[in-house]
Amino acid sequence: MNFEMLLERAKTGDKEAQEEIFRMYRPLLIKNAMDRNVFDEDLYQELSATLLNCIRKFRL
Amino acid sequence: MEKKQTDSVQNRFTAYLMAAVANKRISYMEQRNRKKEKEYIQVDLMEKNHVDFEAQYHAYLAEQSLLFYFGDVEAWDNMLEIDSVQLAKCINRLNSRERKILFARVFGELNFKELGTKFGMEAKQAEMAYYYIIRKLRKGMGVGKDEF
Repeated sequence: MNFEMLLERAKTGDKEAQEEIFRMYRPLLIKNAMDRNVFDEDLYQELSATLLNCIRKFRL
Repeated sequence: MEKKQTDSVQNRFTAYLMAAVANKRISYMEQRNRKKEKEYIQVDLMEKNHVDFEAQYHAYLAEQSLLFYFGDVEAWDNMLEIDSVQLAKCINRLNSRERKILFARVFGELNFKELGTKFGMEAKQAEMAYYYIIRKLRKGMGVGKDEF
């Protein structure tokens, strides 16, 4: 399945597609959730919510 | 061709996500710093709130005597240096001129001649005035000559 289709499915609320995208972008989120080499759990949560928000709002 | 398009979508989405994540991270950090600052201020206030009451009382006395009687802010620090409540009370009972003489002599470290010039009298008179004030304070403190 290509990314475009995956994203479309995720936008409609498909949990599996959302999880797949989440798995793809997890390293990015973890990298941004590091604060002075310490993993910030709260920040990671916030960024995860941002990812879901982006999936919803992104225009194909 | 289709592969190219889906790559482009993925790239756009990644760029979009990276910008959103960076913005979120900045706003989160700012919010956290603000919260921390607030906590520091609160801790400061708490520390200031549970003072020893004596210190507060001294400050109060100083304020009363200095600002209420002659509004002289210069002598403010001097009054705060006095660490006995009773002495502060006695000084508080002196009249404004007597207090000025006392502070000029004790904290200003003027000799009697300078004191006399400052308050418009002879050196001897200034000395007498000063010791009169000291006697008054001794009496107020309720102690004998040697103890004060």
